[in-house]
Amino acid sequence: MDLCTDIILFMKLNVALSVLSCKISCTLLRIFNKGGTALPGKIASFFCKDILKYVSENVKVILVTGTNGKTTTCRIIENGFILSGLNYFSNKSGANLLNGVITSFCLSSSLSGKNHHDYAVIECDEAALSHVTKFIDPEVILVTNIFRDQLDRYGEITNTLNLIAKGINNCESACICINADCSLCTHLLSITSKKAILFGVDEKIYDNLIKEPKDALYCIKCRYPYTYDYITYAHLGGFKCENCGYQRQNPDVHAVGILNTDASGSDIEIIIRNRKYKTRVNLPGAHNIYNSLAAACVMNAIGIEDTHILNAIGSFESGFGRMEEINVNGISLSIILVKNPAGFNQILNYLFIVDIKFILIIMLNDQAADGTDVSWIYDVAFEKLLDIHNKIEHIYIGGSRAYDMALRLKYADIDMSKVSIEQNDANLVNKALEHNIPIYITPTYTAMFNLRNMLAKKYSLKEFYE
Amino acid sequence: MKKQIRICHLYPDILNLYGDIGNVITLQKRLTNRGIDCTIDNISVKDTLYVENYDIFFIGGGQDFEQEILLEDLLVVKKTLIKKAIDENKTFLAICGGYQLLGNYYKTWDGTVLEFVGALNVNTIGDKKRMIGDYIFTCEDEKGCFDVISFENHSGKTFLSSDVLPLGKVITGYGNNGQDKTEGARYKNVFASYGHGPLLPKNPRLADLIIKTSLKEKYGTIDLVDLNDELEIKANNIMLERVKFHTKK
Repeated sequence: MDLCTDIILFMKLNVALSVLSCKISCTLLRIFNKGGTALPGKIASFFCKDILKYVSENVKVILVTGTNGKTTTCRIIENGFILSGLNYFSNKSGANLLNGVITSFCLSSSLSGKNHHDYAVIECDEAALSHVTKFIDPEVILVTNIFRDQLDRYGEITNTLNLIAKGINNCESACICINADCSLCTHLLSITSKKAILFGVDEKIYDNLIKEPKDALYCIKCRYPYTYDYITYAHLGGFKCENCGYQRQNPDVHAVGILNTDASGSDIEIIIRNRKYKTRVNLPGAHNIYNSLAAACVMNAIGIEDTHILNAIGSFESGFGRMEEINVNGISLSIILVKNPAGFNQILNYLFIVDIKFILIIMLNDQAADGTDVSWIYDVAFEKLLDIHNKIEHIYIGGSRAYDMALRLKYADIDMSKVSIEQNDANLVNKALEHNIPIYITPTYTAMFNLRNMLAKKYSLKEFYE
Repeated sequence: MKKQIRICHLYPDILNLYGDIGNVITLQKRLTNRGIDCTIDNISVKDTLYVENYDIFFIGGGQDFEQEILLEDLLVVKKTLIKKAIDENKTFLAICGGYQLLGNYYKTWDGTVLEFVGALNVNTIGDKKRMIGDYIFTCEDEKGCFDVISFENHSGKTFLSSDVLPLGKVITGYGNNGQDKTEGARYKNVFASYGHGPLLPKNPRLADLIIKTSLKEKYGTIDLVDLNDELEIKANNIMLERVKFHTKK
């Protein structure tokens, strides 16, 4: 029977051509060391414009979208899939637009267009969601959070909301997993009239929270200022509008107690649908508690056992610039991708709980993928570094907008004798290594790629080759 | 007696598009680094505004949703106060959305007219196409012309009436409307610009021009000592070179 369907499908020559062209172009790009993931998908759609529909048939798709935490959350979900022995594939973070998603599906399909995986864990850009859900009817859509992000790319935050709503509305039966603590996220439920499984944190996480501009101070429904029982970070927390009554709903998967937060992770009490456990979140910072809860929510939605969920959170190791720790000549070097003020402020919150002396490297680029407007650095509370200046041995600054970054630190009253600019990546890391103490690097997106390539070549870090 | 400049940051919780706070920080540091006291008060919706308590007013840009939140407070309560402050030669810096709000009206691309403060005789017409990117314009102080580099991101096209001067002349980019090469507005002691986000950190001459304007109004004399602007100038020059070179290609 299977062979039969394969044959019928194979007769759809355009599908075969489409998948083949995608596979060939991908191989060619790899041979010539051009890691493009979008072009093959584009070529595939040229031969068959709804190829994504064919290659995703019978695959249960998890779509993960939202401003921050997409990649990490996907990797935690994958960890749970591995632990429970599910047959799945996933896309890489660089391939989260429509063409990248098409490429990932084609590569994991046979020439007949049949995909033999049961599940797909797909990270999807907010603006691309509605394009992807035109072809895929996912099992689960997860919205991690919504923050102000690269206005030059996404426009206003309400625009982002509408784009995600449009994507959700394309879907018939998807289970929606959503952040209960984000007033923008839960607003999606009323504009899409969908039911959802909610995740959230029931109490504050940090005693000493960074002051940052809030993306949602006023009620999205009636424009009255929210009151908060507690804030976990940015605009996330126990919000309530005293005017129209819009408020945080009780989550289904939630952290009821934050027992401990340290530089390598957090200990939390988690409730998964009324079942309470103590567990370790194996990544530091409030944002990673959220990423873990989001992943737990998705895993619960598709029926993964609690023990595997807890193991997935507790054993997860980060990669690809998300709190990724590597060792260079015996010195620990942690790479933490930064994209927007909400994310960077979280890194600063994290640096507060690091209890050793360290070197900080900030790399600011302004390519399209980083955001061409770098003014967002003025919404990052670098002034807070003054409170931990004893822990920071030196700050090195790199990237194409290094001088803008240095100027930001100058206007934050940072002691500029402790700040050096070095726009050559190799020299930058070399100088930092000379101090012989742990290094934290916060690069923007393209800066991270350049940095990884440099580290891979110079220090032969094989695992860095994708 | 020690000099003091009091800054009023209007609607800082709402009009805070990327980095607007950078301008306020820059004014403050460049004052305190010269031994001039500087205070900053945040005045938002429902806060009472006493214009006589301030020397410089800053109003930034916001997203449409956010601007709607403050419109009632601005037009019903603070409009006359802001007009009074401008008439009394108080120094203003208005950026992007804040600049548009000080004008007469904003006509959306589908024809709806939103009446604004009307303190500046300028009108803004919404367009579907956004004007986004690094841009350069020239400005003038007592020493002559200088280049300002910033980033613009707006869909409104602003047109100046004859009693309002432009802040500068566009060298590359769009400026007020992408048509007449004007950028921003100068009226009495009002400075307005589309250079959204942190316009001032990288353009110290413009920052000092605003500071001098407020000091002259308050104390009648200006004696600003030079600051070490090596980093500011370097950051400015690198982007000037890049944007000019890029545009030539």
